[in-house]
Amino acid sequence: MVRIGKIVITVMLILALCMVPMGCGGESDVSDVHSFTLGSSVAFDTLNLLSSYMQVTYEFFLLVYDPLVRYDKNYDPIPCLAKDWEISDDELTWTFHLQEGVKWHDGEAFTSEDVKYTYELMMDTGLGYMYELYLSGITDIQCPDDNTVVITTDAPKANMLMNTTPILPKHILRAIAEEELETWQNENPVGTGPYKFDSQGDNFVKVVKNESYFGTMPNVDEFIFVDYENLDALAQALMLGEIDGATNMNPAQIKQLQADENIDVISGEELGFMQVGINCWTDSASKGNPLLLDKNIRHAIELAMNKQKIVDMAYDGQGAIGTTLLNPGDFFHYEPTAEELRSYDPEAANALLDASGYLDKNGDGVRETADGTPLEFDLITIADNVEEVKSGQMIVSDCAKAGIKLNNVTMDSGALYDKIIEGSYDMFIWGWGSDVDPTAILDILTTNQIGGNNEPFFSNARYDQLHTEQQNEMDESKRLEMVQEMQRIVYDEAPYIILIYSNNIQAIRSDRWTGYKQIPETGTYFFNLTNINYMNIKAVE
Amino acid sequence: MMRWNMKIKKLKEFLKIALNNKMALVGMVTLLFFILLAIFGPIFFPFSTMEFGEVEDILLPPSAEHLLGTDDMGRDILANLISGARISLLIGGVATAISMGIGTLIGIMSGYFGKGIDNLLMRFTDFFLVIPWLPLMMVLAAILGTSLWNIIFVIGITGWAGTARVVRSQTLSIKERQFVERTVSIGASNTHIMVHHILPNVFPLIFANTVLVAAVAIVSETTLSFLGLGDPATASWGMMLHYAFESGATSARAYWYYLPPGICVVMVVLSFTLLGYAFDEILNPKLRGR
Repeated sequence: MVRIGKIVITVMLILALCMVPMGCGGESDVSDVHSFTLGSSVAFDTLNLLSSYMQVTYEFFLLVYDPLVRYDKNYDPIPCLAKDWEISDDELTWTFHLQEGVKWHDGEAFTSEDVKYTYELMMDTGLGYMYELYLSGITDIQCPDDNTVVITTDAPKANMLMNTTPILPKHILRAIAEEELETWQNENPVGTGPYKFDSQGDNFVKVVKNESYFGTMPNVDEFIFVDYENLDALAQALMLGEIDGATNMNPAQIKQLQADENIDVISGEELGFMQVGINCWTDSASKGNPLLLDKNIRHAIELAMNKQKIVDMAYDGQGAIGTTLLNPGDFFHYEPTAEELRSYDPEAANALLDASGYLDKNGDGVRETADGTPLEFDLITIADNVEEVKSGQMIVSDCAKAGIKLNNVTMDSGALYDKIIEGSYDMFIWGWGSDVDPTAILDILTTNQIGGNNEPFFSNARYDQLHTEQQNEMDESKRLEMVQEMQRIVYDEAPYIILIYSNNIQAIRSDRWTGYKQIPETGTYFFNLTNINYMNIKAVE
Repeated sequence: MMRWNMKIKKLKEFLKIALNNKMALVGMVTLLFFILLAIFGPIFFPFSTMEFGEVEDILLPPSAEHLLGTDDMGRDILANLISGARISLLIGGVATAISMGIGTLIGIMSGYFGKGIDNLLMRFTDFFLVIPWLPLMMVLAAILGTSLWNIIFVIGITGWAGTARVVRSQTLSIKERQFVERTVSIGASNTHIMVHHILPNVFPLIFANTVLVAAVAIVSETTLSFLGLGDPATASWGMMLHYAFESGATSARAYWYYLPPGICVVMVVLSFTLLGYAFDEILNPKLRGR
């Protein structure tokens, strides 16, 4: 049977390879062109940065475009298009001095007008929503000369230097009508970055080195991003050496990859989490089960969950159990105290429900309220995410032991999104990718985001107030205090039960490549919001 | 009394032919095995699909403790397989009943009334015949949501078109026969004729067709589940294949995980198909003895 399995996989690989431009692999063997092919299980969407939302596309943007500042390996800001900057004494005016002689990939000169145009376009149209919170609070942008940008804000802006919004070419975008910008395909992206767009096919995007780059030159001549729909095919392609690196791999394959001495595989920490979202909408329009508005039930559900077993079984141990909104490795992370912590404790869950008056009076194994309504809720998981479906099943089984009946329902992500927007759900499992600056992830649960990103319809006045204040707090230790209090509020109210901070399984052919490292120290090779490994990786001599 | 004796006699005759037909025999024995497994298996293997094992139980190869090994959630595969037999046969049975019900009703009405009604019903049938069934089922399953009964419903209402066509053609021939004309002349109602005279005569055909449709229904359920549109709370064979594929059992070479449900699906579908062809042969005297 093993032989047959091999034949099938080989046939699949041959088919997959037919779709990859064969020339690229061949060239590197005969000439000195160093080409790195990165396989991934996530697909590209549009190359238009103004409307793109897929993670892998942002890797492409990191190579083709430049921001004013980039992150270093510790996520501290370092110069990029801006060579230095200063802030006024009242902390409201920022002056950025730009690199001189920078050219767009099409030969046009880059000027401060491009910066002003990009920022104003995003602020005026709401496009490029990934960067919205990094541009909020800006009231005025001036270009005194071609190499200076002066930015004024209405209040001190804590995340100004965390703003890595890529600068787009004004001379190209200006020619497109504003109402068409969102659906514009950007078939030939032009940036200032270290790599130039070369070509795009159904399942690949190729970039080549920008020989006239103003900064330090990268080592690799070209990168090819290839999308694999099947995780087994991705792992096999890496083992057979058809690709040089892979991301977003199946945790179940990690042991097999570790056994291969030519492959360097890591389980790197990624910013973000998977959560159980609970409908906390108090409005009469809510179609969620009103019993979930009782914090004690939400707490009991969390106490009943064996998160460690979920991490170990559904995620093959590749992650850490979750508590609060920001990752444990994050400077701003808040770790609940021993008293606050709700770790797995079925007895405590049962005791809490008993004390809250939910008893199983009819002996069917499900607790009821005083008027006889059973504690029965729907738990929605996304059908094609096997980790989430497995987690869901384990939570169902855990909660049954506490006398709470959950019905596991699966649907596709589009259908779940519709239910969340309408507030017609009880509970669901989904995830968020996070960011270096905490503002983006904290913004999700503000009252403003109800009807948008605020999935559980959570509203807390203190939380909202702290969120505004932390964005204007330039003193990092004071900001830390505020951000931690926000996390504590959410942990106590439990609109989200954070299940896991999951890892990204990535691998590189170490027999061919060197010069790369995990970013930050326990992070990932790629998909880490920096282009450091793309710039530093080099072929083994 | 007379009628019952005749029926028993006919049944005995039928069984005699069936037992002499090798295809039918193999099909019947296999199917009987799975039916007994579905009915009595859970009694000997009391098992809940929601009970997970421990971390160290994941993907264990076959051993004395776990005859067919364990899956990616540490569950015993043999127990899962037995529980899956129940689901697969339930789906095969109920979905087929729905399909046959719709197909027979539309087929007989279309053939019997003819003219406008025939045209209307047959164009409706053609619609279901030409629509690619898999995308149709996938869309319906996605809209209705993934529960066991929705899956059964979806398979049931997409699989009846062929039956309707077959039943219609047989009805067309039967309604021209003298005994029907006589019944019409003594003033019997349309319903009476359809239920008491046409239905019993097309029944053998429906019966043979049923068995074939059941095979399709089971494959359909497996396909839908494999594509992730199955009910996550039930352990059907299709769901087992889905989980095996998604969790990388194939590249981990965990053959004990993906082979057993696959083999079971093949065996049950094969037994239904063999029975279907055999019945066709038995009930259709023209084919007998070839």
